[in-house]
Amino acid sequence: MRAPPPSLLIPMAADKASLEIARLQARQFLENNGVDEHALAGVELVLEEAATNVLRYGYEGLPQAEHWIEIDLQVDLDEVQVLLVDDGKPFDPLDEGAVLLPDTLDDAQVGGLGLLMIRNTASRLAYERRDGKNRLTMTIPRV
Amino acid sequence: MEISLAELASGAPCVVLQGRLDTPGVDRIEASFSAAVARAARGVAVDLTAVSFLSSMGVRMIIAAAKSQRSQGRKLVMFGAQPIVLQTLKMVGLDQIIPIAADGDQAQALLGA
Repeated sequence: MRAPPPSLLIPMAADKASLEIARLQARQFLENNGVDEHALAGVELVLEEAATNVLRYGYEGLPQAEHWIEIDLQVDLDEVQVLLVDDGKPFDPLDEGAVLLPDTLDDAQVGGLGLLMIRNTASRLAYERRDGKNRLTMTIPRV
Repeated sequence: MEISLAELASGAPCVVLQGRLDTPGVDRIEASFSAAVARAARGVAVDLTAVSFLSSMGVRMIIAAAKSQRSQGRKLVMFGAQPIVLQTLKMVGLDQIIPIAADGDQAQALLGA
């Protein structure tokens, strides 16, 4: 019987300081499982962009409460699965319109860049809303 | 994340960034970066050689600085980006709107300094 792929669940409080600690935990785990620097940078990028989005916008208008985020990593032979679970407002990044690249510096917008980076870095994205939580799976190729 | 000031061979100001240009990194240096760029009277180069990671927060910071330079008729030029950083810059089309030089000499030429 084949061993299950290495995986790591990182629960974190929904704040910037905890995200930095979670990133370092994720990096250590991926390095220990032989994920190369290029794929690792991809994981760090989608994690930072998706989690920062949740921290900035996910709890707007919600009652003050302690919020938690879960990061679930799974290292497969040819890809890394990054699942981000948050209890913020429903937000399906797959449902957002295309982000256009600017033609000039004057046209350059500072919003939407994170989503553009996630779409261009992940080979697959999957979203579902379940039990009052957003579940975003971002797949990063290991080649 | 660290920031320091240097000069190109021509004397043109150069802001040297070192470390991860992500949310914590930008939080740490954004005010110093904006101030350093604002002080550059004749355009400024940004040395990315020692930047190991760039996220959208870093891109936002660079766009804001380039826009403020442009509003005063000055240029901002980046140089020295590592492959992973360059890939991110291209992914969001930044290479099309802000000059990216291979090294300090080319940056100097682009600045016209």
